Amino acid sequence: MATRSEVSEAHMEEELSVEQIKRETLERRMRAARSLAERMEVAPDGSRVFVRFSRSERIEHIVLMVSFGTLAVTGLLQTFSSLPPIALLIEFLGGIDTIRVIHRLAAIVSAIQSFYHVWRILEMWFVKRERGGMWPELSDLRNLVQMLKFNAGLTDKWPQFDRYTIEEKLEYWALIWGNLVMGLTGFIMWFPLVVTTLLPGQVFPVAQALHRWEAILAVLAILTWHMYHGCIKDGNRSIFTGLMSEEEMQHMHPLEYRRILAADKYLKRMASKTDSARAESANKETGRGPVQSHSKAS
Amino acid sequence: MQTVSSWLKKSSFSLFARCLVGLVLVGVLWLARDRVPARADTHAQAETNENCLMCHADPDFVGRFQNDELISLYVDGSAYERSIHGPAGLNCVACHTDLIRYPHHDDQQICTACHSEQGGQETTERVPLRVKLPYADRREMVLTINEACRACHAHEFEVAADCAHVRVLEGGNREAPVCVDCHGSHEIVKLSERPRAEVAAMCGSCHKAAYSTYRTSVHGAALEQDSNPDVPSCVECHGVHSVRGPRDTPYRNDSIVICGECHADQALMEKYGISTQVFNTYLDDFHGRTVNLFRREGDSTQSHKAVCFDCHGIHNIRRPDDSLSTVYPANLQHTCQQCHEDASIKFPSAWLSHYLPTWEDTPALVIVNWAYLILIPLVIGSMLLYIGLDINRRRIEKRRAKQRVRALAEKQLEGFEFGDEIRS
Repeated sequence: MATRSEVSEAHMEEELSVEQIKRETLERRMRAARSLAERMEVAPDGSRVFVRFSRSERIEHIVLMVSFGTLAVTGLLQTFSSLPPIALLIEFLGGIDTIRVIHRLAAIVSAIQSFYHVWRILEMWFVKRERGGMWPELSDLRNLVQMLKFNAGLTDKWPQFDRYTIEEKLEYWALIWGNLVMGLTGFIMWFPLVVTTLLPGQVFPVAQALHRWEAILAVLAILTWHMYHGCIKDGNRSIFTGLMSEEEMQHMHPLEYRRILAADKYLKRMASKTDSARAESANKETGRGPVQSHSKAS
Repeated sequence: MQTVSSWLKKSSFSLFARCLVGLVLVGVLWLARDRVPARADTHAQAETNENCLMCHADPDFVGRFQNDELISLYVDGSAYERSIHGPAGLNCVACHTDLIRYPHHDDQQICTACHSEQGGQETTERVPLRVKLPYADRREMVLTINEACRACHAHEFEVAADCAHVRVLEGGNREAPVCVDCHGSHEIVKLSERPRAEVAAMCGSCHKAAYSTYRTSVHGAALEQDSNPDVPSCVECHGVHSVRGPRDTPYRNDSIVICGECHADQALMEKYGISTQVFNTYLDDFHGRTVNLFRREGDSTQSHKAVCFDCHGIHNIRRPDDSLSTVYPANLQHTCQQCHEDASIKFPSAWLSHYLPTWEDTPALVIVNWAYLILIPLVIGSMLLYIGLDINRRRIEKRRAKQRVRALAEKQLEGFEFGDEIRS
């Protein structure tokens, strides 16, 4: 049997939590809108430029590019060292031991970059509360089929991509798989003594085989898939410049383009609402806080 | 001379002086008589083995070195005739070039010291023939006479220039073997005509420890017990005249090829049921790949990665199923620990023991190999197909765009046809 004061207390609590949820939801929406709208820059002549990759993302790509390239060259040299011209090249580059040291240094760089990337994803998931554009969705499959149909000449409708195209998403997940396989098997090969204290020795030849095969697959994939889609196809340099033109955005990432414009509009609408609310409150000369005016606007 | 003769003519004591000069000249010539080795040149051609054997066939003929050590100077003439040099017509003096005259040495007592020129001393007592030798000791004699081989066998000397034995000799150790120590002297036969076990035993006369270990090894036992022609004796691995030190850089790097020469030979290994994959699988692995690269680079560098004998043993090499073998399963951990100090009991199983992966032994490895053999062409093929379709569609789009532009232009040129003037 609840007393009157208890009932009112419960009511007040409910009221408070509603206010809190409203505030938090709005804050999240504003934050998401801001992070989207920030990506659009308007040049003095009125043309729009879109920030596709942040500075840290571009640096990540360069580090990955250099470490992957180094690992690929020094690794393949070791794999094919039985061929006389490769043996000559190894000698020219300072001998097999030097090449192994370089390979391991590049592996350390690649591992640091990988861990940094994982940390950034965790930050995105648990701090920014975003899923990230690379997360696989059902629409990816639809887009892939649509893209294939388009290229096969079965349809004239170009698939509607969001932040990443289907080619970019496939590339990314292939890289995640490759990095996992190469990192794990590389670790086993680097520290056989440690590994065999924990795991049966049979993992070692399996790791060797995996490392070798996956390397060949990865290098071939980069040379074909990545080079074509990343460099040749559109001459897209956004991973180095960070920027993309409005035309390119409209063509390659129409969904993202529309979302950015929508977020920009949303922010402007919210700003005007806040302004009018402020003006109103200034006229009435009341002491209402900004939080309440926000909740009123929503 | 002009001045001397004119001085003599002018001399007031010319007759006395002439007699004096003549006497001095005669005296000098007489004194010099014994100093000239009168028989040296004239005797060389005539010196036959029979001449030498007049003395050296005496079984009791001994020589005394400067250190008073004695040596028999007896030579078995018939053994020499059976040797490779005898039938070739080589005389004693062909090698003993310093003995072409008699007496052989300046300070040697000659026969006539005891015997009269006409015959012997009138005595029934048999006196052993004993001469002083111009060498400090036996080894000095061997080393000196050994140089005679060079006259004919210059090539072998050239090959042996960097030989480990020669280096030891040049380093001051007079016991290092020279030609005659291995080949013998008067009774030389071709080594290839002697039983191979004898050759090993000969090396063993100095390398006692290595030889006694070798005799218990899989190679050594087969050589001694079965006279097996397939197994290596010492020289197959170490070389003959160019015998190298096993600690030399090139020897360590090249050793894999020495073993590989037989162990990669399909026909030879089939006789004993030994896998010929041992060499391939070694070269394909971390150790082998490294050593092989160092081998290519030449003498300058040495790899510390394991070569065949680091795991299998050197002179003690045994069958892998022999419990005394260094690669017997129970001994493997200890063998690996020679380099990998912290190797655990599971560490050796990280190595496939020179076998190609099979479904029975290593299913995971077989699956991985097959999976990627299918996956790589499949993935890369799909990618190329996708790219090909993309390129094709882009080409078509470009052509269509061009056609659209052309159509537009043509449309704008309607009424400007060239043929209109002809028709009108």
